[in-house]
Amino acid sequence: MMKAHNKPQHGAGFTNTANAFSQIFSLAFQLAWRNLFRNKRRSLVTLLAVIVGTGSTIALVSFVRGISTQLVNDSIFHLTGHIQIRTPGYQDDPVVNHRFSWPDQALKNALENIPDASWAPRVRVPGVVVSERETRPITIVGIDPELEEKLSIAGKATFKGKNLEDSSDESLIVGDRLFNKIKSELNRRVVLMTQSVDNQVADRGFRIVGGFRTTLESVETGFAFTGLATAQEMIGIPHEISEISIILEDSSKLDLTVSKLRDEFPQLAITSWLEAEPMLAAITKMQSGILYVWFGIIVFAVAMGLMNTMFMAIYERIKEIALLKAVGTPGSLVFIQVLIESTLLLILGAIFGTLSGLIGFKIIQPGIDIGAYATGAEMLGLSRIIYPQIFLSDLLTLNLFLLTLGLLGTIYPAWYASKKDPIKELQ
Amino acid sequence: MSVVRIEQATREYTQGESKVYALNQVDLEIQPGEFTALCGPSGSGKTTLLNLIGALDRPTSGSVFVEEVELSALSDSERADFRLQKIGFVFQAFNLIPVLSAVENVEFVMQLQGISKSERRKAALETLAEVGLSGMEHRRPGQLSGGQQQRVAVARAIVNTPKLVLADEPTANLDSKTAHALIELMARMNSEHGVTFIFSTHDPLVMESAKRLITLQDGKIIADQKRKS
Repeated sequence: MMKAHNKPQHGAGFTNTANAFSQIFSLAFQLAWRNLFRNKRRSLVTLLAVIVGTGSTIALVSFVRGISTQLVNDSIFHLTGHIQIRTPGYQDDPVVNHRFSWPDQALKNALENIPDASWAPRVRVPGVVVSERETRPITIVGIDPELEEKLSIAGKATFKGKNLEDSSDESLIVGDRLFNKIKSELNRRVVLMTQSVDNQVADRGFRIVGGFRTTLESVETGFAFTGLATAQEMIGIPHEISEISIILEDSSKLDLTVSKLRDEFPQLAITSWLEAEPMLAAITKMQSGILYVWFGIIVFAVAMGLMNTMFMAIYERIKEIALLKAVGTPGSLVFIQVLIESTLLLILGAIFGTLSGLIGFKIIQPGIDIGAYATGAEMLGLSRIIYPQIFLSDLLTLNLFLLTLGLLGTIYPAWYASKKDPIKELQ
Repeated sequence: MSVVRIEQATREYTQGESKVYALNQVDLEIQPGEFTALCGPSGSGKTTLLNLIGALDRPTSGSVFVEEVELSALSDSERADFRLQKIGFVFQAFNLIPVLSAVENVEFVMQLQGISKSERRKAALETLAEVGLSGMEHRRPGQLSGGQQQRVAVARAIVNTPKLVLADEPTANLDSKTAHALIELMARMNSEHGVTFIFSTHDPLVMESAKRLITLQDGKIIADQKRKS
């Protein structure tokens, strides 16, 4: 028993001490931690619900992000690039009339000063390909194979034959599906026709030396690649091009790079892929929105489950809570204790849920074969293998949602417990 | 100065359209160091009286003073702090926190008061030894008998030398031998430390131990006997 002189004076205890909060917290933590092990089965089931909710969401998100990234990359690496430099009007009417001078030293310097970027000039005009059996509208693209190397699939014979060698290469590479459409074969000659700079018909014979395959049908059936100098000569624009495409190593610098180039070259139309492919940008944005709604639904369900669990725990311990309050425990301690109890469940669930989600991601990371849905996937421009992707921002957002909504869901039971009348419950 | 002073305290409850008087215009004074038993049949007002003295409830009319502090004038949080600092409680059941050991249960109130860990641990161990529970300090309530649990509750109630210990039928769930031992313990704490005890009971043997016996019936004090120890 304490000596009387050691006893604190009325009001000099918890409420007035400088370290009151830390004392309340440590006492509440001690009670909350031990209460977790009181009904192990219930704690475990709640924990499992949080883990499964978090883990499965991460796995699903990685799949959706994989689709999204693949759609974007397919577009970007199929000629679009992160940034396009053209003349105003080219996007609406991509013909030979919309062209600009190349090489331009100022522009070249600006391009070389963009850190970790690859870029390539192109001639890109509409035309037709004529084989001995068929005629089809296509886009004729003149490229520099060396500069295109890191930039796009252009000029690479990924399916059969050989690549274009240099800017003055006079051969042609077409898509595998275009072979079928024009009923032609490797090493056969075809004629390309387009409008020349002086509004005359420009035509020229080409030998097809390579074929490529890609996930985008429109590219495989609609494009034919030849050397840049060859295309320039054919159209009559030896010192001009249609566009420059740029790929950035770090796509987060997209907006900054675009605005810098716009400031330097106001006479040119400089667009990001988000502007060049508005539909794709909208789809990507919508996917992110849907993911966040999905986060919200899953986490809301987890929070409701947690609220129910905490109410069950409070009802089970109602007399104990009444005892605590009867001996003078402040309601704030009871409130904090319930919050800590649920926070511990949430944090443990978030950690193990995230780990299980990452393990799931590692398992599916080599690729998911969606061959069973090949037709639908092709319509969407997807390949049959989806490579899931995980972003740190998604993991952080999901866990933030979980902790925030989970805690919000526990505030009501915690408040309910803290307001219990000890007399009613003890009798 | 009296420890407890009650003036014309009435506590009424509404049951349907009728009013029930749990306490009806009660006057009472308890002096420091008294060892007082409240007796009377069920519904006579014993627990209501203890709840009013313990700042757990407010009278419908009249006043309750403990150490000259009028409890009705205090807010809920002030009354909780008052209970924490001034009053020790022993209830009939659900006295202990199941997830804390005996010594942690005894320490609990001191922990709430902000007393340092070493100081409260020393006091808790000494008090447990005083109530005869040496060697059982680290047992959880579930590992103790009913009598041992009530001893821990008494230890918790007196460990910080409160002005007043209120015990609501502390022996009701105990066999007569254990009940007698518990009352003897409370009486010893009263005589050795001068702590004022007020407890309610139905048990004639327990009443025998009281220095003052107050009998209630229908919410009124009908007898108040002081005895020689």
